[in-house]
Amino acid sequence: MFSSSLLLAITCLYMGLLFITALVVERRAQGGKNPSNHPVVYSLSLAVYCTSWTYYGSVGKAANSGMLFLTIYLGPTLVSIFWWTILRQMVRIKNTYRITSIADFISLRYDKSQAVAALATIIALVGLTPYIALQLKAVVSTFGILTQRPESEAAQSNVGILVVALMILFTVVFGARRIDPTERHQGLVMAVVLESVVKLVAFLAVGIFVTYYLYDGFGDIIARFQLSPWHKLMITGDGRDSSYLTWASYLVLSMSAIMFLPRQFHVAVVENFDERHIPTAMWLFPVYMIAINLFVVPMAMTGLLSGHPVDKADMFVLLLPMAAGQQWLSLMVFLGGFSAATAMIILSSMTLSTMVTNHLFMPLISSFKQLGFLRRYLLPCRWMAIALIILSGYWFEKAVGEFYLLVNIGIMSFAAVLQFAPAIIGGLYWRRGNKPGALMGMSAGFAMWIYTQLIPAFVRNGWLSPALLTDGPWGLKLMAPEHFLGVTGLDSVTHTVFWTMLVNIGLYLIGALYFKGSDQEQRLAEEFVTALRPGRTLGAPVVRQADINLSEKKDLFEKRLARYFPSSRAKNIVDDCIMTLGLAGKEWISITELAELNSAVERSLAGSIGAAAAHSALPERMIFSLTESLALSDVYARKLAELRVPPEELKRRIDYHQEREALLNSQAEEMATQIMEREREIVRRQEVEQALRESEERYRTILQTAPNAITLTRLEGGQYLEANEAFCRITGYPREEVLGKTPFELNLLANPEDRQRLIDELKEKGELIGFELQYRKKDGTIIDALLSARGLRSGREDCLLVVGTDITARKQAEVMLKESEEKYRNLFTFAPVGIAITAVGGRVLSYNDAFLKMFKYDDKDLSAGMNARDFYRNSGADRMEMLNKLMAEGQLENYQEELFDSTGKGFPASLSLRVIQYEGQTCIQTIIRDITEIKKLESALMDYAENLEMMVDRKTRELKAANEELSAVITSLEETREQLAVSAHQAGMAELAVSILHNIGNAVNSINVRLSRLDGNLSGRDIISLEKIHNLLQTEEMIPAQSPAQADRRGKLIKYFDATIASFKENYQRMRDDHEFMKRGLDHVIETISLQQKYAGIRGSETPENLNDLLRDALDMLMDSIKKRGIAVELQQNPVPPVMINRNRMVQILINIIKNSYEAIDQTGRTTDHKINLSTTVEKEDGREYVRIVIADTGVGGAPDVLIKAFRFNFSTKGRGSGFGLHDAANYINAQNGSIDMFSEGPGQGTRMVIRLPIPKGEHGGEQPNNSN
Amino acid sequence: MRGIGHLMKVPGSTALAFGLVWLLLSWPFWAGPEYREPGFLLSYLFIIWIFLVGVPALAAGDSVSTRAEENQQEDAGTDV
Repeated sequence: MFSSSLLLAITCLYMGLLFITALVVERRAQGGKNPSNHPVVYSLSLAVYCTSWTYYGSVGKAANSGMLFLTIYLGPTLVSIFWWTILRQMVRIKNTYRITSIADFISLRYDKSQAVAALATIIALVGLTPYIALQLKAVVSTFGILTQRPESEAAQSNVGILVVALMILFTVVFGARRIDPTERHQGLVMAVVLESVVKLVAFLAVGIFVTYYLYDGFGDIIARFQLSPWHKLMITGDGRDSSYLTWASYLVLSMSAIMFLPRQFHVAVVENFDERHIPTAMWLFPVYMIAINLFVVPMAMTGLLSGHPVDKADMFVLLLPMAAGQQWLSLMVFLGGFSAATAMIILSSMTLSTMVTNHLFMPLISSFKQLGFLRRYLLPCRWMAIALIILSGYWFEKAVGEFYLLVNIGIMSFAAVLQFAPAIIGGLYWRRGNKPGALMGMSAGFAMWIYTQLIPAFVRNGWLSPALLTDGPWGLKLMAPEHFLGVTGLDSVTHTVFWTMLVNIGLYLIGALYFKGSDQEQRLAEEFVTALRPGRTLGAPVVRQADINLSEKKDLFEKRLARYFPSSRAKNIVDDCIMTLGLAGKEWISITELAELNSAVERSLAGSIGAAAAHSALPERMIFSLTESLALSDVYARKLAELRVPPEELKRRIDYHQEREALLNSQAEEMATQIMEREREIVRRQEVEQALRESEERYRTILQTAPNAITLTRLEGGQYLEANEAFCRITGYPREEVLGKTPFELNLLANPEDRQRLIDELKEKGELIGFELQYRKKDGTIIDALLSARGLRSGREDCLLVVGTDITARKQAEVMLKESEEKYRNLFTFAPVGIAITAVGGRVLSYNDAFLKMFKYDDKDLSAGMNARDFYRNSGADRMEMLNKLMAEGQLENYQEELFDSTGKGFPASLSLRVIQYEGQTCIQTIIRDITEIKKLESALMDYAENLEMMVDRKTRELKAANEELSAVITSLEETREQLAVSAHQAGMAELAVSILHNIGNAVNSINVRLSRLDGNLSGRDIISLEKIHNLLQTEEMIPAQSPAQADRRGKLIKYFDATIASFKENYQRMRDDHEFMKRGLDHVIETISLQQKYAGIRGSETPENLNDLLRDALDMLMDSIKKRGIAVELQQNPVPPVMINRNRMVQILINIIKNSYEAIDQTGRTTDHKINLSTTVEKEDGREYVRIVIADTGVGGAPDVLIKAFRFNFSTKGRGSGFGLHDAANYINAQNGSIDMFSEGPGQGTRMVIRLPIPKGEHGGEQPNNSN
Repeated sequence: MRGIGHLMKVPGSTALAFGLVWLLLSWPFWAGPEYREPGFLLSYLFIIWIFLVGVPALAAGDSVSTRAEENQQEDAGTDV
């Protein structure tokens, strides 16, 4: 079969189609073409009566009770006989009073009673909930059958909720998009008509299918059925529920329902366009019902014959095509049933929501002011009412519906609606029917309905004890709901109809007979009862169309007037009338405009021939056609109807007004004079008002331009009614933001309770001045304000006029002033100088601690009235003199005077005086400084100044002499400078000399190297070896003297050795002397060359040299000496970049240092641990790179004082050292911006020489490391 | 049919018609169970129903014309 989603989609599509139809119709209606204004549409709209109850339930009822189901449709047919009177009467009343619902209709008749309307609404609401439940049950059940869903509770619940949601949505969209319920819903009516057609077509289709496809027509089915065991089921009257009384009850109920069901009332009365549609409905609607019921019995029989269970008879309509495999026919049947259900639900919930909002909700919000705001949300409230109504129906279906066939649920609602019948019928035809009767009757009938219908339903649902039905409440069988007062033999429906009508009609009559309605109610009763009497309108349209040709009427008028005037004059009169009425240019006019034109022409004519003649000259039958006369009568009738006054009352009023007119005429003249007086008064008032306006404008200008903030607020609530520009400027809020708001909403008050405090004080004092509070500006800044406030009345409100000044600056100034005062007070009190304020006469008014201390007084003395005159010499004569001067000059500064303290001791003082105002009188402020110490210092300073002058004189003389000497020196220097200038001219000659010096230096260096090597060779070791041999020879063990000759030879040999050794020593000494001599001479030459080079301003011939190479060269030169001493050399050379250096000088320096190292090792006398370490590295210091050469030895080392002196000229630790080598090395290296240092841990700890030479910028890296030992 | 139309406007005649039809609808319950058999009752009721529908249908067009005549008479009476 169909999937749920597909079926849902089809359903929504179908509803969308209906909605589009409704929308198109509404738009066309707005354009003046209303398709729903047609008797057929009206008739088919009544078919909303045929709900899913008809659609499915009729078959179910037929299968159970035979022809009883037909009463539901025979009743409406029967009552349609009366429609021409009853329905037409209701339509006329509706047109007159713009009735919107059945509750509105009933309440109007009964004194426009809200109570009656509310009761009718409640009855409809409670009574129709089961009916809506019925529709929902039908949709949910058929949805489940068509989709073959397992009928689990959850699944049904989901579908049910979905259906409910859709119904709510459709109802809101179709029927409650607008708030005005008086408007007709043409679109909705057309949608209902379309649904009526769909459900009829669907039902006929399945009926024809069952009757003529499954069987061979009615006869075949009936014949077969009569032979079947279910035959007895359909014999009407044999079943328990099919007695004649049941039959009659159903007829009564259906007759009532077709008229008084709210939805039927809506489509039949409220939606009626024209009462001329009623006669068509009187036959077309019954025809529709015949058609839709034609196949009910065959289908019921077929269902039973096909073996479907009787309790599923409600669904035979759907089950039969499904069982025959007719899917699309089944879908059609479903859509027909869905149409039937939705039309009913939409219309019922829409009308009920209107009733609920108008008659329950509105009175409720009128009674409670707190709910007043809900008036603005009337439309959402209607939507909510719709939702609640449909949801209530769904709840009822879930809770109770399971125990009822569809038709039984429907009949329950019919019984509820029946309670309207006595009040409506009585109201339409019985003048004495009144509000108390209606209220009592409907209340009692409704209560009885609840007791006899609803309570049993609850019992069957299990909510109440079953004993209630059998034994009655509290065991009172007479009170049993279904056998009330012992009435038995009636089925439930008949029982309810009997008792509800009995109490309803009975109390209605009693109320009508025992109570009297108000005058208004009686007038309304007259209106209702006589609604169809002649003179009342008969279905005339409310708005008349402009369908009368003006030119034709104009010709007619001109012809009539031409009898009395020339044609041109007649034409002018008619044209003037047309112009006056504003009809010029129109081609078509309405009947009312024609009537106005007729009156105007008649009045014009009456001015010439008199009123009576004018009226005769323009007979109405000549001007108005028959149709126009009817239309005009209709208009007048409507006008009268709108007055809502009975004819007798109208006549009485007319008489009254005629008398009143005469009286008014008599008073007219008197009034004319009074009017003249009034006019003068008005002129005066206008002048006063003008003055007031100007005054108001002035005040407004003052208000707005005032520098102070001025506001007018409500006393209660505090909303701002007015605020001037200063207020807005001070608070930062624009005026439009302020007005209507309260200070609390604006968060304007820093302390919200200030306003109440202000009001309290204002109430207490009547007027408030100088009230301080703090405002919070829009930007959050807190400001101080000083307010003046006064209460006043504006209109009917108590208001508060507040004038405020921003005193934030003043407050801040006050704070600063306080601080200043505090500072002044501290300054005054704790100042180190005496300060006193005295009266002119001398009385001390104020003073500080220093003052007391200065004069050695205490407070008691002063408070006892001590006088400033006592401080001065000659009993204040000095003071008077000083004061005279003060008065003359205004102030005195550093006025020196001798004052006297309390002990009579005088002291010098410096006074500063001012004339000030103190405590309201002119006083003297005196600042007194004790200048005793200053005076002493002055004296000492004077002495010192005298000595200083003498010293200055002496020094001046010395300086003068020195200056003269200096001048001489300067003169000498000038001469020297001139000589140097001459020398500079000769500097060019030096260049050649430098070159020579360089070449000589190179040669001398080579010699120097050789000399150094020679020095190593002259160490004297050979002599020492000879001396050792000599010593050995002297011992006999070495050369034993075995004979005297041998002894002699040995003696000679020893002598020879002695002589040889002496000779060697002599030669050696001579050679060393020569060497030393040469060395010194060479050193002198080298130094000389160096000095010459230096003086020549040339740093030498520095070339980029790699110090690793130089160090290796130096080491090579000394390697023989080193090896001879057994000294281990460790050379660690790291890659270094070249440095700018004089190669020979540097090699010589390195040789000297290495030589010093091994000589220091010699001095240790050790035979082991002879080691010299040499290394080259690159180091960085202060952003500059250096090549660092370290030469360390294990020699004798040096004490700190030796280290300090090492580089001095002529200092040497070696006995034969010149003391020039290291000095020269240091000079040269320093000249190259390098450094040389000597380190030693102390004697015996070796020495470490460190040389650093700068690497020229741009030189980095170097050769690969070359380490060797 | 015009007569029927006139009758329809008379409350007494409509009440009479109503009573008559009511009696006709009640008759099967008094006549005996065989008249309440589905086969008979269905036909019987549909005949009455069609009758009920037919009369107003015939009277409908007639009633409108009758109303127009009535209005004309009323207008004539008020014309001066």
